[in-house]
Amino acid sequence: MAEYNLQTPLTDEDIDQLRAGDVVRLTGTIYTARDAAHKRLCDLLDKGEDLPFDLPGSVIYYVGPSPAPPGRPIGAAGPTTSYRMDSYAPRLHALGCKASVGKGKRDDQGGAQGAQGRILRGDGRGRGAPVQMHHRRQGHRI
Amino acid sequence: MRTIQAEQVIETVARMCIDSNRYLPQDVRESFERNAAREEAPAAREVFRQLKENYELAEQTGLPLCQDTGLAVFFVEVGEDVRVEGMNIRDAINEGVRNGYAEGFLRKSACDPFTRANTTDNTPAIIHFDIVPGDKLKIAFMAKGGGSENMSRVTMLAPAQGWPGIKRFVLERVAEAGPNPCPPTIVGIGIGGTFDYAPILAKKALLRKLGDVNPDPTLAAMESELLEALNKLGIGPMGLGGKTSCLDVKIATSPCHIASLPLAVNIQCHSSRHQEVEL
Repeated sequence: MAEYNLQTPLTDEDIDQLRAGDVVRLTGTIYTARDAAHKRLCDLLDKGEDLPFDLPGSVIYYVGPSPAPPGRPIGAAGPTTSYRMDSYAPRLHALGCKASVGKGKRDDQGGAQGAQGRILRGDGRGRGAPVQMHHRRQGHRI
Repeated sequence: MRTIQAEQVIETVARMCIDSNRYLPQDVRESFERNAAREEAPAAREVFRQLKENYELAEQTGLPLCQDTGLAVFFVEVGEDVRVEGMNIRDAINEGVRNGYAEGFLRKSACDPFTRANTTDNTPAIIHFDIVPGDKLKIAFMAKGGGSENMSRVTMLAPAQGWPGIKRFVLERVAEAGPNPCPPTIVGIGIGGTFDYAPILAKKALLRKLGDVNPDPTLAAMESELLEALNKLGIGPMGLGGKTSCLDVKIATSPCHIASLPLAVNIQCHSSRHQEVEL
């Protein structure tokens, strides 16, 4: 169970060193999106429009935080179930999204994601949930 | 006829919503500690460490234990000799949920099933009423998260399948759910009744304290047998492998039709947030 501190946006080298079960701490910008936001991203891609952020190297955190009390930037935040994003995720990973933070299993489309890269599971710090990282590179699935 | 003011019900319910989402019950904390001590795998030990850190942080900061603060589920026992004055009791409970979820900065997770439009105040609550003798009003609240609820199932077994069939279905269901319901889980099992009643039995069983012993010796033996079998699945804390896939198994039964054997499995995540108050 190795531990890594990584800075976003992530590179191929960042991800190549990771193994399932490692602890990964991320610093930098992480985008948050659940199923409805993923649908909007894919709708924009269908229309050939630009996305509101750059996908290459990006990390998407599947989270729906609780409301922020006064004096705090955010309420409670923890990863939500990843399989709800399974129908959208492979497309975003194909366009350069490097990692997603979620919990639980991916569906059989995980195979499709695997074909584009690999799936890792580590520990999410503070909430005890798996971080899943998908790497877009053939032949590196673990 | 005893009278309780609606305002008291509203305030009590609001407080229950906030406190349940902020303070993990003592029996759950103790269960974490007992099970963490048995774990050998580093990942399993690390998850238990994080679960403890998480409930300590929730207590210190006042933030909820989990961002999914649940649908508000209630089991209410209304004494025959008590009435609520000033408001219909269902409305009073919903008003309490509305206030609690707003004042506690809890997430509002109730939405229309088709349009997905949020009802904006986490109502309507799911309320199961029961009429009982006496002049008390007993309110049990549970904040039920979506991740574990999605992994729950109901089935109608053939009576001939009996206990082996029940055991097999529960094991398969928990194995299939794997890491999704945020293990280590608590498995509520409803056996008997009808298609609709078995899941209510299963959900109500989740209100029992972890580590208690079922007063029915046959059910107590079944609970231990299942718990032992479930913990051999190796799912482990948050699905990262280990000895603790489930913290406890709770079974409730009711007579059923001679042709049926209804079975419901209601899975509860490790963050078992519930409270009971008697007015």
